[in-house]
Amino acid sequence: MFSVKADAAWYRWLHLWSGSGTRIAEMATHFAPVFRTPLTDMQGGLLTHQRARKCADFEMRAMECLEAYGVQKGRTRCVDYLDDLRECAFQTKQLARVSAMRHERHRQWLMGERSSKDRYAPAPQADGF
Amino acid sequence: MAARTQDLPPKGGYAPINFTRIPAKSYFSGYQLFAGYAVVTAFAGYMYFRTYRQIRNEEIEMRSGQMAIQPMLIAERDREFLKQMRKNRVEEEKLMSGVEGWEVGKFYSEPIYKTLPDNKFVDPIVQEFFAHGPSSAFSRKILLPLMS
Repeated sequence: MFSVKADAAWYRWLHLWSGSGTRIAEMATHFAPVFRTPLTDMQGGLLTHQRARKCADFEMRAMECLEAYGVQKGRTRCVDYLDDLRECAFQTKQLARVSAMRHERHRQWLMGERSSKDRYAPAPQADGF
Repeated sequence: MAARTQDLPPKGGYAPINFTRIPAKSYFSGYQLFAGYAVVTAFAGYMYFRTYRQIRNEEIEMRSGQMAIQPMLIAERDREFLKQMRKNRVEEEKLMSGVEGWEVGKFYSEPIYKTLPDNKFVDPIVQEFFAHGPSSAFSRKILLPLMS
C-alpha cells in the first residue's frame, strides 16, 4: 500500500470501485418496463438524459447504436457508447482519478517525499468553477 | 321592648333625580373626520409615490450597472476557470510523475471517454477542480453552501 511499485491493477480497482459504489457502473443507465403499455410510453420521456446538456449526445449515440443492432447484439457491439454514457452519468472514472491523485498525495506526505508546507497546492477560487 | 321603627322615606319625599344624558363632547363632526382622513391619506400617498419613484430609479440604476459589468464578470470567471485548469494539469503532472502507468488527463492509461477524440475538452467535475487543494476548501466553499 505504501510503495509506488505495487500492483497498479489493484490501485485501479481500489479507486475505481471505492469512489462510487461497487455495482453502479455496471447497472443499466435505463430501466425499461417489463410490459409496454400506452401508460408506460407516456412517461418514458421523463427518464432520459436529453434535457441536461452533458449526457445528451452520449445517450443519443448509444440509443441510435442500440436501435441499429438491437439490445442483445448491441450489448457487445456498442459497448463503447454505452460505457461512455455510463461514465457521463455516474462519473466513475473522474471520481476515481481524483481519489487516486489524493491517495498519491497523502502517500507522498506520509513517506516524507513531500513536506508539510507544500502538501497541498493553493486552493482554487470558489467562483472560478 | 322598643317600639318598632321602619326605614321610611323622609318627609316630603325624595328629591327628584336628574337623569338627563350628558353626551361626550365631539370636537369634529362626521364630515370633518372624513375630510381629515382624506387630507392625511392624500398627503401620505403623495409622499409614498415620491419614494416609490426614487426607489424605482435606484433599482433601475443598480440593474443597469449590474448588466453592464456582467459580461466582464463572466469573462473573468471563465479566465479563472481556465487558469485553474492549467494549474491543475501542471500539478497533476508533478504529482503523478512517479506513479507507473499514469498518463496525465487519463485514469491509468484509459481515457475518460472512449469515443471522444483525445483533444476534446472534457468538462471537469467539481471534485476534480478542487482536487489539488486542501479538502477544507472544497467543504467550506462548495459542499456546505450547496447543501444549505
